[in-house]
Amino acid sequence: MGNVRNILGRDDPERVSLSIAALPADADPVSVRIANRLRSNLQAIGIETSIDLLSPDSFRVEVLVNHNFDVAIARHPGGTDPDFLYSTLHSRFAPESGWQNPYGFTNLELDEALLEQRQLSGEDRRTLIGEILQRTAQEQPFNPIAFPLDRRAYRMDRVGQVDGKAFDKGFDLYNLSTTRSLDRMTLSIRDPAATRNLNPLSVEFRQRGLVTGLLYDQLAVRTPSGVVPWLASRIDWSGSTASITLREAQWHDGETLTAEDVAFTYRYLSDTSMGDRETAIPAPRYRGRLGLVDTTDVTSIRSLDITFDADPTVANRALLIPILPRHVWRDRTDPAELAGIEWRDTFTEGLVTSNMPPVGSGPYQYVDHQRREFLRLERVDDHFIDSLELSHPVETPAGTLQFDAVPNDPTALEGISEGEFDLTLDPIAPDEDLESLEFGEIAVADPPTFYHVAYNIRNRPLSNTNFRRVVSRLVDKQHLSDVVFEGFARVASTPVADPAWVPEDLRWDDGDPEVPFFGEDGVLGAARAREALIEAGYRYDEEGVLLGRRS
Amino acid sequence: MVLDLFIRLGFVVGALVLVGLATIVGYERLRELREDWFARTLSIVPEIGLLAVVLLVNALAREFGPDLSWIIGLEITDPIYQLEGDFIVWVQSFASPPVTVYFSRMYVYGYAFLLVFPLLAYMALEDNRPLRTLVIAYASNYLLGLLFYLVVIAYGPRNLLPDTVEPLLYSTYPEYQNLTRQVNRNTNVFPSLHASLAATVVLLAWRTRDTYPRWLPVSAAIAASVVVSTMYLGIHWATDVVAGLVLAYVAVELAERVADRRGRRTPFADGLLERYG
Repeated sequence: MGNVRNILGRDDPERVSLSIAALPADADPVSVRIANRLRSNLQAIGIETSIDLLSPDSFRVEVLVNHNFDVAIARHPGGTDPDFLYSTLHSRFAPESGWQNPYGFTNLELDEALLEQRQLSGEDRRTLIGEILQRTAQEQPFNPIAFPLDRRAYRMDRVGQVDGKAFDKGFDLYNLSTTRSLDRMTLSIRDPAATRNLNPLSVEFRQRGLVTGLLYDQLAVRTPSGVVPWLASRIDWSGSTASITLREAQWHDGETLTAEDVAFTYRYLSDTSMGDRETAIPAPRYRGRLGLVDTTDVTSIRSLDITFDADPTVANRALLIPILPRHVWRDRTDPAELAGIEWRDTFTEGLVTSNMPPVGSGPYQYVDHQRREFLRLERVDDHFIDSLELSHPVETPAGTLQFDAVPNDPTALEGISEGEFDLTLDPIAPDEDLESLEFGEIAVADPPTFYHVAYNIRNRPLSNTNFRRVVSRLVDKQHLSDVVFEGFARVASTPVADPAWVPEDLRWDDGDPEVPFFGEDGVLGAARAREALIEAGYRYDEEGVLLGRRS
Repeated sequence: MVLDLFIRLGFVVGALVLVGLATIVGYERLRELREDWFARTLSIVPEIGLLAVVLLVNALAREFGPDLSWIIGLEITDPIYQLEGDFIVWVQSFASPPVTVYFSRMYVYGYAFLLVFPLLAYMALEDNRPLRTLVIAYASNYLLGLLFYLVVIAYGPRNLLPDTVEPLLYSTYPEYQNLTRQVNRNTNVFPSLHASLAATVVLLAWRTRDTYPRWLPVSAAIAASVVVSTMYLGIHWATDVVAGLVLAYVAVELAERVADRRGRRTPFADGLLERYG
């Protein structure tokens, strides 16, 4: 009898199946083309695989908010400073939404290292970052594929200084017009998020925050020459405390911007319920940066002290958040009732409001919009940008900025040729031939963003590191870079774009140093991959289908 | 840019309709139509009203439907692909530039002509039943199609398989993208309304073959080209087309029944006729 119970009480191993979340080709051909190749390689090693095509905002809801995915092929925003790894990988962010650890990755040693690097600078920090990258590559919470080179088409007669700009922040739109200032500049966008929602805190509608970056000011901005004061006229550091003096500025509804607004913003972003709930409900998008802030102390109507829990070189990042008007956002603290997102008492109104029309203080204000069609902004008179003296003058590009949603790249390029658009704001996919463009120039940028295969480590069998490593080795990054990216990419072995941070033995060297492809020139050696899975303790059934335990 | 296209579309379809009226409808019926057009229009006011309401609902649903369907809808792009495999890739293996030109024109101009011409041809008949049936069938297609679009999310082949399926229409005529996006969202491919409306016209052409013997082969040829074009151009899956054909059959059956339920002329229309006719 005992034997029967022993046998019946056990679950039979089930066939392993995975689903890959990807974007449709209209939104991002790279994502679905990688997904198709990964699918066929997974199937070659006996893993049933399906593809989920999701629109860009549904993709962000399912992957970044609901964590309802197995594998996702997406562009990670990345970061210039490797501190973005803290919010990307620290286990405390696993339950949260946004690009904060959507993988559900937990590793105690890495947690410690990620916190420690914030207190370091110079060579010590570089060494520790190197160790973190090494550890991450071993664990494969995600598999970085390539840093894409972004191509944009623009009208040379109207737009200039486009080359090299990543257009991941409002600042990149300044100094763009060739004549002193255009009446109107029209930019095509492929992701219509900005025509539907202008909430700088929204996870599902904000990717880069470029448009909201025009509407809201930050204390400082990242420029090609480093982080410089913006809404702050001065930032004086003493130890890890920054004494900040604000410029004179007004909200778009006429109210005066004060240091109270700034202090409110830091409080609000770290708990959008403002202490109303038992646990704080922070704004996911700025989670990593907010964690750097210790206290804020308003010293006068236009000055305040912010104390950081980090070295000033790292703490700078915390100055790069949009300052919100207290009189608008202090009422947005109630729990949200919303459709589309699983309601879990973890969202306040401020996180889900469409925030249209927005009240900001930036150089541009909202005029009009039509969902999925367009968004129109106009220049604000007497914004401090006019008198700003950075290393070079900063100028707004046009009196009116129009963002027109296009269904796909050919339409955007057609619009450039026809003179309808001045610039394709969303990068043109690599498979689009730009040689035949009648009018217009091509600009190339090398942003720190990277395409990656994201694993949901909460789900079996992706919770198994060995399994993830085998899946990572089904991806031929070099081949993808040549064929899918058409050469417009740098192959990635780590998530950090700047090679100066990457230790010697982790650099790309004719193959991935940690998870080299099982095969050659895009052709998989399935037998080797199957052996690797068997070595990792997996079994196959008589039809060659991989078995594992689900649930 | 879009306006240009609509004007061009109007000219081409207008010219085709004139040819059709001359060769298929004939002078005698057109003369009668000239005398009786007002009364005939009045006699189908309820049907036209129905179609107008359906198109209006359709337009509103196009604005807000996508958000709703992402919440309640079922995403079936990959299941469709698993079902039919690389059929579309096989269809496109016959592609050549002149064929692409032919099918692109059929997809845009042939389709528009196919929908517009029978409205006038049936209006030229003294019996208004074919016309009423046609209008109700159009409305049923849109209405039933709309229900599917709300509960089913499916992207076309070019969105899942950019490596193997060419977006032939838009790579050959990028300007058409602007035309069709006024009408369709890229998540609305199941079922194919191009297929269902084209098939609807042919089904009714069959039922009126005694009156318009020439229209049946002409409409069948155009409809077949339109149906093939949706797949050839990489816009629809074969599954969408099959579902579209089923939808056409259901819509026509439904329209026949509704048309049966009321006599040739309604009291409402008779009242209007008495007053203005």
